[in-house]
Amino acid sequence: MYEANTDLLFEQFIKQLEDEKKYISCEVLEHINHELVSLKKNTQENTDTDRKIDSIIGQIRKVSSELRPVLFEEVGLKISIEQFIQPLQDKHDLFITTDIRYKKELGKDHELQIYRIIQAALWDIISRAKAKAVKISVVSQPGEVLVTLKDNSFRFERENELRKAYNPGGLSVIIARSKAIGGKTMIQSGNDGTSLMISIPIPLKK
Amino acid sequence: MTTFLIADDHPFILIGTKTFVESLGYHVSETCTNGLTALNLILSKKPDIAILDISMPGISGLELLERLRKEQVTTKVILLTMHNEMSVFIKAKELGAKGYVLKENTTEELSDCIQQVLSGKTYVSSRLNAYTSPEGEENNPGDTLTFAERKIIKMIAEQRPSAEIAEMLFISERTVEVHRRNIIRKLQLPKEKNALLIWALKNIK
Repeated sequence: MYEANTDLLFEQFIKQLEDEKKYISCEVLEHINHELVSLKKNTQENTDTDRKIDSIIGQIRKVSSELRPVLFEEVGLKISIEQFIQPLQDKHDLFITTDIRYKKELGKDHELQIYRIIQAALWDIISRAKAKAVKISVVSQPGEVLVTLKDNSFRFERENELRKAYNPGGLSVIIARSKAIGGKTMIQSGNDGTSLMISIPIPLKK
Repeated sequence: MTTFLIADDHPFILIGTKTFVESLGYHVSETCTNGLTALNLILSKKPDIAILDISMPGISGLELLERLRKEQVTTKVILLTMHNEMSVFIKAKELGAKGYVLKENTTEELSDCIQQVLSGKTYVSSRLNAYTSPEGEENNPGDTLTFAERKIIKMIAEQRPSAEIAEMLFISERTVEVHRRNIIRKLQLPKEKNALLIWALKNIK
């Protein structure tokens, strides 16, 4: 009987999903915005039409950046994470610190998955955990990159939430995403909070 | 005479930008629609100013900036882009871009940008989507504080010692002390002991 390798399937599924997001964001939406700028050039400044075009350009940008961090490959993991957390702090009254000492040993696909994992974990903390602060670290160590999100939410409550299967922002998705890049996920709870740790092996140079 | 190179893979935008720059009385010596061609032209012709799109075939405007920095080329780069994103701007600045203008604001901003860059200054679009904290009530001295400082002063009002604040926020005690000193300076509080605590208890709900 044929048995599908679910890990491999998920890895391929994630890759395809990210490729499609990149195509829509970088090709389709950017093309539409360029067309709108051309249209704007034939429009008188400060008229209703001119302002409407600006507003559509803004909305398209928003959709595009929600789909995918803008120019992720070129901007890099550190700046992309630091900029992503800025508005979250005020909006959700969550104190977020970062410690990113990553030496770019992984490929861009892996870096994007790290970004997605941090994004999912942060949304989970915001929507479910009663944390006041989070510390995000991405640190290169011999043979691995260690991603840690340490929050000061209440111990067991948080661990139980994280362990719930099918929790869309929760552990199942984070584990699956980290597996897709060969990573291992661990949770540690103590009186001072909860730590989510993902260890991603650095591939040996050929 | 100041020389310009303009690179953009969208032909209509390229022609529009060239016409606009020429209408300001400048001479556009080179135009192209590919990042790699732009790099070669800049290296061989050394124009004073290069107005570059970011997303281009060949190499992108950001990669191009990196290459120019490595080659120590003196051409000043203005990025004319569709990307209204702080992260992209921070990277561009890090790589040495002198100007950053959004394509939809070309007519309003490019002229000022060119003048600033020519006079040795830098220019950033006033429409850049920079994240700013929501504004508080007027005349509230606490408004000048950063998010981190506001969070810390709230915890001071809860009468928590620095060590506890540091532990709760995953920062060092020294960082908390730096924040405390900055808050005292910004609020112009007297240097007496407990001045900050007294202020916090009175003003923070």
